Amino acid sequence: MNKNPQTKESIPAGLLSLAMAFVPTQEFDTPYDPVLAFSRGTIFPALDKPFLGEEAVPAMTDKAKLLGRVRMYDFALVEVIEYLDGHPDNAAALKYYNEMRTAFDKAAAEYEDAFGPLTAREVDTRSGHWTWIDDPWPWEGAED
Amino acid sequence: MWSYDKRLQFPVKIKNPNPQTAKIVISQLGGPDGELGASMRYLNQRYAMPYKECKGILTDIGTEELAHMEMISAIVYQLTRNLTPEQIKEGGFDAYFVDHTTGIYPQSASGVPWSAATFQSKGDPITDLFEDMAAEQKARTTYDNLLRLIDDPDVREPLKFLREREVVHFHRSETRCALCRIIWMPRTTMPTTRPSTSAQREITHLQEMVPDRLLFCANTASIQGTVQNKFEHFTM
Repeated sequence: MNKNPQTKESIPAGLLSLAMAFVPTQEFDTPYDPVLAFSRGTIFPALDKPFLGEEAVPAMTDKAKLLGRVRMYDFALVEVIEYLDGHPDNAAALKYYNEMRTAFDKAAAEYEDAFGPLTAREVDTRSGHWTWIDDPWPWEGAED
Repeated sequence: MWSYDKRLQFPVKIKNPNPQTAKIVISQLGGPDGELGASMRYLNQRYAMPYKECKGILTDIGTEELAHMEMISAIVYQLTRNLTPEQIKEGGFDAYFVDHTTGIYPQSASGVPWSAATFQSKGDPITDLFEDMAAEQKARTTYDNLLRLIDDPDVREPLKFLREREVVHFHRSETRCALCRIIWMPRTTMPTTRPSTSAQREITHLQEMVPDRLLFCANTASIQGTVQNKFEHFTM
């Protein structure tokens, strides 16, 4: 009882002050596989705290499409970038960043070769048409 | 400077329009704890941040919040496509419809237009960062409430993703808190008009406890200025 793993002392006692809130330091533990991370909304198992105690489920296995992979690796990058902002010298996180960036670049290139530009700077003008404006736009729910 | 990626951060693909659901989800666009306010809060607060880590975190989270705003707008947009006048009336969407048709307008579930009065940018890093932490929890509760009311899995999946982002962003405060203590400690021990002996002892103590942070603190003119400002600011 009362065994909260988060009570582990990670802040020097001398720094604990009244009238302040403290959050334990987050180590860079082994992140979820990018497929699972995307469906869970975080790459960090320790921060996966869903509503109503839902269980982790593998997702997107049936729709492993190119855009899904772009999203997945981009999401892992978003997450690790925000972590690195606060832990700029964490070797494991830096390594993970490099791996995800490589994976993202590859996935984005494959997507753009097949389905057109993701940004206005990637437009192929050889068709003589400005494909950037072609439907559907992201909010229209038909992008994949 | 920003650029646009022509895709959503997480897919939104809703089969069945539902104006009743749209009416409550829109609160996470323009409501008091919505994504528009979240983005504006971070992106405006970052200029007053004295630490490079804080500047980075506020910039990157504020940017991610813009992507969340787009997801919420996409949900509302897709929930209000191809409605009949009957569906609009039965779904209680008529009040919104008469003012905005089915255009996307940032307002709360109760119809109050978005306002910058829903957030602060106080120019005090401690005050601002604690507001950010509270804001993440308020947004998380709002997502909890939406998930209590909404059954459609097409709507629930993106909402669950966004809810988890609130949990993670709250925890990103971990570093911000650690940094803030450096500023906070002298402030709480400041009994006189100038850095007292006891306050000076406090700073020395901090330098021993967290040498890496204090090195940063001591070597940066702007940080020294911040600490100094805290003393002068709280002069009575």
